[in-house]
Amino acid sequence: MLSSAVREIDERENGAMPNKIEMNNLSQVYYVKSGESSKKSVFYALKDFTLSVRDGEFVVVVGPSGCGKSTLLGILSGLFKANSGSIAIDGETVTGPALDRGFVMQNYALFPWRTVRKNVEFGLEIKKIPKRERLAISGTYIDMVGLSGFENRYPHELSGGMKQRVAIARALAYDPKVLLMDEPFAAVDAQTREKLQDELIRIWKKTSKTIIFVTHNIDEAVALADRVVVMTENPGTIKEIVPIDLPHPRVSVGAGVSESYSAFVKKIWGLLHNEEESLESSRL
Amino acid sequence: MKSFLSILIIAVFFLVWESAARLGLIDTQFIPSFTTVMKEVFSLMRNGSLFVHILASVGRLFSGIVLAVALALPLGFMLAGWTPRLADFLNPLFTNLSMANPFTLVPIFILLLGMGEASKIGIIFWVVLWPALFSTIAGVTQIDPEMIKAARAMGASGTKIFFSVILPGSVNRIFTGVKSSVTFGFTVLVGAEMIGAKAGLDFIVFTSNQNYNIPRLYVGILTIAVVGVIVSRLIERLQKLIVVWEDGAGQAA
Repeated sequence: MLSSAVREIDERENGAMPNKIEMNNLSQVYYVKSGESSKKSVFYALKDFTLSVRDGEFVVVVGPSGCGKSTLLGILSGLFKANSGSIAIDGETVTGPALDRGFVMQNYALFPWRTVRKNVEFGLEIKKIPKRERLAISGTYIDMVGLSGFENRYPHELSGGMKQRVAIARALAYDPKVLLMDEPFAAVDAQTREKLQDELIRIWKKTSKTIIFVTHNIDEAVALADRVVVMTENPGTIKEIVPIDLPHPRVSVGAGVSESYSAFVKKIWGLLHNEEESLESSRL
Repeated sequence: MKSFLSILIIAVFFLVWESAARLGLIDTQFIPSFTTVMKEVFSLMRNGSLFVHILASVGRLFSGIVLAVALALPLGFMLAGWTPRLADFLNPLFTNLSMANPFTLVPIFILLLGMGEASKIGIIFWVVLWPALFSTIAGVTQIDPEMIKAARAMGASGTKIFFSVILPGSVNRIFTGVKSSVTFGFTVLVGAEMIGAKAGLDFIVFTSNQNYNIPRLYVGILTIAVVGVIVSRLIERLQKLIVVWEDGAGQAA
């Protein structure tokens, strides 16, 4: 019933536009030891997860930790294979990792032995782009994330926020269709986070990438998303999809946030909180 | 400033040594003055024999290191990369083998490899091999899996991951392991040279002792110390030259 409702919303939202990403009935099961007993219990990281994402859409997935949102990104990136279900990007089934998706991780995962420029060029090397072109492309994206002048620095010389900018530039440089972001701003301080969110919106508008962004931060979800996908934990399914039809920028330094912004935050908070409560009662 | 102080302290040490000899505080028959020893150094340098001995020892040292590293690196990468569980099982064995006191192994090496160069190089090989092997394995296994994930997500091939992630990610650890074993290997080599060597730094010490040429004995002792320091400094330099990206604490970003 829920998935049919999802589809309805999708159709209404999409109109005639073709979908960029189609996720069909993705399921991923883990067998985990539960409590004292040695019996392993089934943990549904994902169960019948179905979602369509439009070209150029910014989708944020929120949910309690362990709700399978990182699993979802792992499957989207092609690093893991789902137990069942399928993913298609531009109608082509995803079979493994490829340069049509860029992956930005929470802990940056930069290569410490490479300078900023060489980090950004990593995907271009895999793409076998000649050195001279690589130089031009990496320059463009380093500039886009505001790190001009830092090309020859090593990651350990950069702050957390700067490292994440490098990671974003690295993921954008080889021009993927889709950008996958796994809690990318969770490790930086609140001020840096807000700044990076602004920059991400700017970059998103400039490059019109399709973005799947995972976070547990509700404010962040409302600040960024076209649609917020609220997930439940075990089974990891979609509880509700909340479209955020507010213009950017949604948070301004002086004026704070609008009433409708707060209403969205409250709504999503309610959905997640409700989730926690029901979980607690089920555990009792 | 720090290096200046270290040099000053060494200078003071030689000064105290020299004064003690001159003032008759020490028996110069057993501990000749610093200048007497230096005179002997220069005479050995003039006839070139000092360099022959240094070259003989350092040559053995480097042959042993190169052979050990040439075996340990590929073996370590293979074990850690393809069979990390086997590497885990083998780790206690490696540790035990490296704990075997190499001085006690000298007779066995001579028995197996003869009195010549082979047994001396073999000892160095043994001493460097195990630390090089498990620092390679440790270097590979401690690489942040997120980095490998990032490379894989970009569709990097196995070869690309090896040369662009695994190799640079473990080189610092490997260097540290080899560096410490080389210093130790040098000590062991000197011991090995006591038996059946025709040249080498400890050959100076050994023969001087037998001929009661006490100043020359000290030349041997001093040269061993100086060459040991130079060798370990050279490796440190090489490490800094290659591992340019580390901050002081060796923290990976």
